[in-house]
Amino acid sequence: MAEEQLVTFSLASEEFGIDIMKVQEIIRIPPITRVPKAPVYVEGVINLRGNVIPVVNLRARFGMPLDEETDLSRIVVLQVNGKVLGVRVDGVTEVLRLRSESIEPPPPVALGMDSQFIRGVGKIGERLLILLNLDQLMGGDGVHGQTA
Amino acid sequence: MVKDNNKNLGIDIEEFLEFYLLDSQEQVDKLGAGLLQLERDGDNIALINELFRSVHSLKGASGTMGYVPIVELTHSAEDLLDKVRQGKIVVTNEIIDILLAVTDKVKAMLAQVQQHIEISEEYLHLTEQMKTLAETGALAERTLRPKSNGLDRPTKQQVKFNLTLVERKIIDDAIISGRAIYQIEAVFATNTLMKAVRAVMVMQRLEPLGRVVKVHPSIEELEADKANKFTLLFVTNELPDELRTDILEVSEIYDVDVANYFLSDMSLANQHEAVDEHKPSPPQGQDVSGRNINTQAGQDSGQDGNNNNQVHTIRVDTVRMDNLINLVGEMVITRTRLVKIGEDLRTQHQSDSLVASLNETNVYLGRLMSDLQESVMRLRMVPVGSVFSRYPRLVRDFCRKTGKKIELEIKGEETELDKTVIEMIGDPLTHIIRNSVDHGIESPEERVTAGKSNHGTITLNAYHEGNHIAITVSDDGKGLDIDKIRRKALEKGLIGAREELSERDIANLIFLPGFSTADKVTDISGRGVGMDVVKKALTNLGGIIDIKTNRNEGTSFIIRLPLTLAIIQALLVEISEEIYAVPLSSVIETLLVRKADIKTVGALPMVQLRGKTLPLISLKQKFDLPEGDKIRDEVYVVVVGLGDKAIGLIVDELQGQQEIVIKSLGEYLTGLPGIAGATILGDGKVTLILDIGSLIQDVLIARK
Repeated sequence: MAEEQLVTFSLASEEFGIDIMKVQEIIRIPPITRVPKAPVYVEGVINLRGNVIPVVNLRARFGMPLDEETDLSRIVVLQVNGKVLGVRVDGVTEVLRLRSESIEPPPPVALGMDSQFIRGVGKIGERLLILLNLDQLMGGDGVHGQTA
Repeated sequence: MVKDNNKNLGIDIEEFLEFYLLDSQEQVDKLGAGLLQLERDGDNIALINELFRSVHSLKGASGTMGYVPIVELTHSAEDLLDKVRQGKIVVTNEIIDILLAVTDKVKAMLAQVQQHIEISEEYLHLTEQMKTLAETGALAERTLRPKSNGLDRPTKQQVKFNLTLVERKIIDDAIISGRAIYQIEAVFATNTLMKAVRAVMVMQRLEPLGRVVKVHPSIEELEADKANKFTLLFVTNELPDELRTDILEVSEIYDVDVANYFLSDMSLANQHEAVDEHKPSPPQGQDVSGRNINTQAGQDSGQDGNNNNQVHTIRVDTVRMDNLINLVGEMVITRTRLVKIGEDLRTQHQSDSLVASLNETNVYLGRLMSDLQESVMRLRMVPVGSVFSRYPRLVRDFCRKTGKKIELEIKGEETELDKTVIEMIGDPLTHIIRNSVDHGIESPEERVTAGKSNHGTITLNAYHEGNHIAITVSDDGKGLDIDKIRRKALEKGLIGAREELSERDIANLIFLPGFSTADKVTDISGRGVGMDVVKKALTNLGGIIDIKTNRNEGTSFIIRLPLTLAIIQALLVEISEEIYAVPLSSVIETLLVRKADIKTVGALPMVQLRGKTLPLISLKQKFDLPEGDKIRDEVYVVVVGLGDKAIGLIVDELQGQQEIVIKSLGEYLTGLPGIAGATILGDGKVTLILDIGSLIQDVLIARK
């Protein structure tokens, strides 16, 4: 019965899903200011209507090869634990509903990326959707590994 | 639906609670300050009335909210004050003490209310004490006489003013609000020609001080040159002597006599009292006049409609205000984009009149925006007096405890500072004042031996100084013991034996952590924590502190704070195609340095500047930024300093100076080395603000 509503986006050849309640808005890529000495996956900071928010490059965060910005590139502005941050994705695909039965726990051997970010895998017919755990996106061991 | 209603009700109570707390805390503060004044001026009926009003409204509000302990406590205090007000008992130190204890207790109770916990503060001993005082005190003789204000002599014969109903009402209101009513008789010099003109001049002089109710004889009659004197009926808060001196400054006024004026019957006033018992009744009969009316201007809470300088205020949540400031900032940025569009359109469609009018509108919008921005920023400014007002109590309590005699003088309390700064300077200031009180001012005996008056004075002053606000705490005590500080610092290894330090340098050593010269630890100060905490707190606010001290003449602490934390002047510099902002307050100068002049000493680049070596930091290296293609033999160096330390920052370009609004980088990106925060420039792009303090520290560590 239970159902989840997700925003899905693409990153390289994978498709990911984020709980829609955590998505504040989706914007085109504005000028990004680099922040020296910040963790590598922090692309910089942007001006979101007068507030300065950090932007995480998800490709860098998940250890994928970096790619050029395209017309489809977007920043998904998230609210995680009351804090606002943006994540850069290759493109936002759709908003969909997923029944909880079709969500499986993350496979023991992760899909070529750190399993701490994966909450589960959703199946829609043949499509596989990686559901993200956003709590670890900023901070966690990643930050210390980079700044130490 | 029902559920929703309940929820709404809950929110409403919460809102009421907030309002109640704010209002009550204000009343408590008012009480505290008023009691201290009453201690010095026990016969000030206006003041007593005001205190009574405060207690009364505290009681009323607490009753509405159902906080019984506060009601009972304030009820007893009200009873006690009522006795004082009626002149049945005299103000003694005991009464002041107990009432101060009550304000503290109420404060503690309000804190409990705020935390949503049951009021558990013990208060019965206070109500008991107050009851006893109210009863026994009634037997006390009236020892405190009014200060001599020229009114002790028998009142002159009262002039019969024929008051209209309106005028009578003014007098009644004055009695209720505790203002003084004087009959002022001015005698013209002999052969005064234009008497009416002189009379009008006198009235003009009095206008700012109070209200002229009636003139006798009337101006018309004076014009007819019949009288050699005239009499005014005047309602005021001022002292008679001051009025007299003021009036005498008008030429051709030979003599002035200020006397109390009594209405032949007070029935009207009493009637008012019956109608509205919130307003305190004046003491009966002639007693009203025997007292010294000495409310300071502005202290009068303006309950009477005659008082024109009423302050209209509303309370606004700071979050809403910050939101407003953010939005205005956004609008400014959006306007710059509009201007850009307007300019682009002009190049494309030069002849179109619509484009011209768009650009005109843009210019006008720009003016409006900068006005709006300034007004919004002013909303955050709060007079520093709100912090200062807590110190008289501090000093008084200390004096009572130690027997020292100290007068706290407060100046410049109307000077405005950013609310955030105001909130944060309280504790550092407390530390400094405690220090002055404990170590600065000597005991009365010591003072007399040193040939000073037995009263010590601490002056607290605030004033504008360029782009900064200066706050000084000066005492006329014994001054810092420079030799002792030097010895202590040597002992603790804080300075080397051969280090040559000026007196000022040595005095500033007390800001080092763990430094205290106090021989004995008192509960007021002397644990060696404090001054370093003070310095740290002020540095966090972007302020600096300095000491001036003279043996036996006293010590001054001078604090300089930025006007606001939100907006600073900054120098914009370019490094590897990114723009960074350097707070202008720390910029000393900018230089163009030839690369050949940069020498490397122990892996650190240095340059000779007027005979001194200046360590340099390449921000490109520091921040791991890409080296540009541009190879030049000259580089720009921004010399920045904090205190007496200076370093040079190597940058690519200087971009000019601009006002910037400081924003935080958010919780995710705190503690980055060399970055203090961010700001948004006119084009909407985020720019990072350099943290000069941490950059300097890095260099100093690297040198060791």
